[in-house]
Amino acid sequence: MRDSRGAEFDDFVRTRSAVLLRVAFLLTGDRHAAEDLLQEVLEQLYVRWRRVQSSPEAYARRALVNRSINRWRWRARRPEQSLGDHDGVARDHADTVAVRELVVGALRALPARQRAAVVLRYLEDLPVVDVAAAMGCSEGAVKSHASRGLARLRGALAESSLVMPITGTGSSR
Amino acid sequence: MTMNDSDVRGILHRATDDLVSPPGLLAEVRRGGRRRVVRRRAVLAAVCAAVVAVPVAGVLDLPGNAGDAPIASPLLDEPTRGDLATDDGYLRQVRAVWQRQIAQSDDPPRGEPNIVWAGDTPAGPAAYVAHATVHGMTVGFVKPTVDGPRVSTLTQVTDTETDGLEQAALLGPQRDVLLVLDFGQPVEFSPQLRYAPGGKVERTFEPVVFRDGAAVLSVPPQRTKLTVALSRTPVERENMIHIDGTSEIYFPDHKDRPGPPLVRYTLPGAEQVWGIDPVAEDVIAPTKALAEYLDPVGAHTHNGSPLLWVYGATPDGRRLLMETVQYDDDPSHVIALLAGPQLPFEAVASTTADWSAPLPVRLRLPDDQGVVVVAEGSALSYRVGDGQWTDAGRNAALLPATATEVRVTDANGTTTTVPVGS
Repeated sequence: MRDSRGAEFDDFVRTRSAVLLRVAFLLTGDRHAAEDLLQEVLEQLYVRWRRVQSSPEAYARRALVNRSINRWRWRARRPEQSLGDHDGVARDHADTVAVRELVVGALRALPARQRAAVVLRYLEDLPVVDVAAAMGCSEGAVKSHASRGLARLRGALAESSLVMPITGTGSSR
Repeated sequence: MTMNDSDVRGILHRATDDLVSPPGLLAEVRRGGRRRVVRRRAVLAAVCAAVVAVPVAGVLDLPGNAGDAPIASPLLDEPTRGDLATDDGYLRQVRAVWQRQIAQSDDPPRGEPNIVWAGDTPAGPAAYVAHATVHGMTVGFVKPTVDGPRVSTLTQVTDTETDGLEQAALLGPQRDVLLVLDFGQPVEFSPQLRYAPGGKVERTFEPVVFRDGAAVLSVPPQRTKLTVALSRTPVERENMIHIDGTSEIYFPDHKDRPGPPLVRYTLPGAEQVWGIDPVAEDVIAPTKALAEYLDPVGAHTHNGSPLLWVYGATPDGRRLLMETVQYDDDPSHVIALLAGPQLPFEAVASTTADWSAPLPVRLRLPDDQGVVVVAEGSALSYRVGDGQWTDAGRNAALLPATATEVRVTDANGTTTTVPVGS
């Protein structure tokens, strides 16, 4: 039985899941929760593929934000096997781990909407209009959330010696 | 220290750059998505029925709405099968370890567990248990160990479909016994993954013959990687049967694996035929075009070798895409694909990368379209016969088809000359 979603859905997951996982990770602050969340959202996308295939990433982003803000709505449903066990997350470099903990800790301290605005604006580099679409709010609200969130994030991160000019990692990822 | 916007961007990227999506994600998503479709259909059917029923009953009770309605699964009430089905001593042991394990589950059990199958295997007695729970059903294998029966992974199920459940388990210290449960559908088994000389995947399948609820297969030890594969028919990724214990093989002690370096290069002239920036778009080869090089149903991880993409343009104006496919510690296959204007990509050539060599990748394209060479971090030049050396840039290049030698100068200044070959 062939699937009408065909290779397009597969290719979307293969190409965009890493990016979406990064967003999910910063939104949830927990790798396993992020993977559960991403899988939930991609399954939802699978079901609605015909309707959303013209802009699947925008749909996925919005679903990630909604679900991360309303965490009570979703719960892990893969007790049998965490996808976290499959990922290649850790380079085990102390500085990478330290940066991650620092950032996650700082983001966790933000209200969910501020966190979402900061992540979409500064990790995804999305224009305000797209962030507003993902968050289901006005552009003004996005600016306000991002501004406040950024100020608090800066405050939390500024004292860290880990904040330094960013250099490439050696390969063009 | 003051952070500007660029610092914030940088630190968010540093915190997440190493996150890679897991190899099994697509299969998991498809599996889960299909089950959602099934559930959605069930809900729609219930709504249609309720339109008639409401005037009489006045109540809408949609499946999955309350979450507390008991699900009706044959796994919960069919009699135990297997040659230990009447071994009261063993069944008692199974129930005892199961009850201890499920007591720790966050989905409380309802009633007694049903032992779906219990039988002897070369690795010792094993069983499969299903137990109704508040939110649906929990299932799992009970495996033999030196300390007696042990419950493997508990799986919570919220519908009656067996599609997507771990239907098989590897048993024994060598993981050389494969127990496959009979869920009423034909199953095909493949003992190993092989490659044709060009890197195309060769898997052979044979039907699994069930007897009394299960099949017990002797397989090569699956110690560090999974070579076996199972699928419902027809054999394809969507029908892949998941094997309990896979993550123990790939991630012993729950340790992560370092992600493979992802290396992407764009060759000069690519932008003219691609029309986009393929690196920025993370372009990969379409699954269909790579199908012969992809394992249809296996579960794999990687050994940290680079995953490479090269984007270019051939002299005759086609898009060039080169991509690696590598499973576990198997060879890293490099496949070149070409696409004419408005045409889909087709795989046209392949080779094996040797990441320890000065020139890891060297692949000649058909129709005299040149030779792709890759050496990360190295300067490349080439010559034809005894002619002058011509600079070919760094990292990757598409050399003319007439090139006979390539010179590789690595970051330490060490120079190696390699024949381009046929």
